[in-house]
Amino acid sequence: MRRRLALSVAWDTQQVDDTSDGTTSNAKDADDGTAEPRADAWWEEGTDPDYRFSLANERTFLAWIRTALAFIAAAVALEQLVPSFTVHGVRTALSVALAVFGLLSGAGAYRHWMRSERAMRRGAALPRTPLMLALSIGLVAIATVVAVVLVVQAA
Amino acid sequence: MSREHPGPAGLQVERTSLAWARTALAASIAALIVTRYGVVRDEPLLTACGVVLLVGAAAVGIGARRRQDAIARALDAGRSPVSLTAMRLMTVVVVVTGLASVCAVLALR
Repeated sequence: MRRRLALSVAWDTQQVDDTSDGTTSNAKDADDGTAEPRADAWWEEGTDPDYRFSLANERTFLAWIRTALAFIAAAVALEQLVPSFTVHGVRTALSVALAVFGLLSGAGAYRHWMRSERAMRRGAALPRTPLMLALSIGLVAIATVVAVVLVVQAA
Repeated sequence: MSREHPGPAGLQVERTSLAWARTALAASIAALIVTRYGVVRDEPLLTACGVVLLVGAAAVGIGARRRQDAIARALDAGRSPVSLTAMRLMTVVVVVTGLASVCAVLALR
């Protein structure tokens, strides 16, 4: 709720700012109605943020990408290196789960980068991402499955 | 490199460039793992996937280099250093790598 408010405030200030911008005033005039038939692309909204913030956002994106690649590498390595669990199909299920987390992280990285960059352009609060909670829960689930399988195997 | 913003901007560019280099390295490792299993298990499809991923990883490495120059040029010109293309291509490489690895896991099973 607080975030939504911040967004709308930022949007209002941005509309005011845009009137002083000669190059885009024509497009903005057409967008004054609520329908917004030709809204500008998000990367042209608002104003360029401090370059340090943009680069920090880019590095955060890359950190998520590396996380995704690590998940993906772990998925294939698990299938190849770990001896098969006694419980049939568990290893494959874990591998596929890891790969899916990798895919989620990779796609989520772009989405989060885009939303952060857009929020900075609008001067709004930075968005939160469900990725962290999802990955934490996923990792705990995977670790739990591994622990249970190991105990079952030892018994 | 960046005359208008001396010290700090140089470090920003360097830090970002290193992040790209680490990412290229991670992509190479993922690609090598898939390729190796393709060769070891004698799965031509998997090997082909791995080679495609290696090409993708090499592209990330080359792109990392170009990105560093592009960022420095943007900062010199006082423009925003954001590159949609770089982000999108990187995302495509990761998604393709992920899909290939799912295929790899199912093929190795």
